[in-house]
Amino acid sequence: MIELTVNGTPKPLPAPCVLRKALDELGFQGRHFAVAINGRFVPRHQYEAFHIEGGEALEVLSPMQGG
Amino acid sequence: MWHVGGAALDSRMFIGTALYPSPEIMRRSIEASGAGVITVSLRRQAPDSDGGRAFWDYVRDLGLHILPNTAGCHSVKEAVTTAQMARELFDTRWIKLEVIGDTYNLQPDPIGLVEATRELISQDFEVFPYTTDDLVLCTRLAEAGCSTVMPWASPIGSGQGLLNPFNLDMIRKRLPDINLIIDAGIGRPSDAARALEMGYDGILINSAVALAQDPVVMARAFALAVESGRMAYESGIMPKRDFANPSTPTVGTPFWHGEPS
Repeated sequence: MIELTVNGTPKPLPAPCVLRKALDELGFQGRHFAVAINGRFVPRHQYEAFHIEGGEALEVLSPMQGG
Repeated sequence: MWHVGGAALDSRMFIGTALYPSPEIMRRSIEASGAGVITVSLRRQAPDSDGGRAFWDYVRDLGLHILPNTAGCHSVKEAVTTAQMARELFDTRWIKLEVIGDTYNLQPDPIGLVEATRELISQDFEVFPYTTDDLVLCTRLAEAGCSTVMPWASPIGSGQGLLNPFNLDMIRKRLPDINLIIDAGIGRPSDAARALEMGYDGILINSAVALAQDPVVMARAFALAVESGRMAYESGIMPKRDFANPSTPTVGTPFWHGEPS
């Protein structure tokens, strides 16, 4: 079991995995979000290659009304 | 027709998508405004909500240019990362860059703003910086490569209108070749008309429309004001004078002049 922070909230994952799998496990599916890890943007084409080891801070942002 | 960020636009109004009583009123207000550009943002959302999908589908169907913002960012790093996420999410190079320096009046951090602007332009963004009405700061942003600079009229959402017309006029005079858009603080259509009369290329409006008792009608009022202001600017406004000058011809003035009693 590992733990990471997702949008400011601690979340467990069963084991280290690639980002794509982590997002699936956390319920983020589809294309309506963008991801930063530890404050750095991770492009969608890197989701399969980026490894989550535990302890990371994920920001998952979606479209929202704005001025 | 005018050009901004590589796009040809009819309307000189940008409009925000926040604070409306309902999505339907937002849509009708945007249509009534005739705006060609709408602003959007990014936020954390729980995956078990619709994650912004409904909003994004709604906005995309409007078929307008999308200008994402970096609202809420207080550092260069936050703003750059948010801009990168927005570029992927909204599929646009455009970014309304906000680097906030004061949480009370949401005043931009001028130093961070210039630094973030330079970094994002180096990454091929089209940066629309939200800035104060400081001539030198606006000049630095233009020198950094911004083809559009967006000074505030007054703090965001304050509805105070053009608090310092002298500064805004000076910026217009000293930066004649870049697009200048008033972003923030406009409260009523006459504010918008005045900005356009001064030669500003456009306005970005949100609260003044969304918080009106009837946002749809107010959006139309702003559209008319913007059009009126621009027409006035292009027509050449007469200079102010310190003395009266009769508009009615004095030749043939009737009976009471020049007649000794």
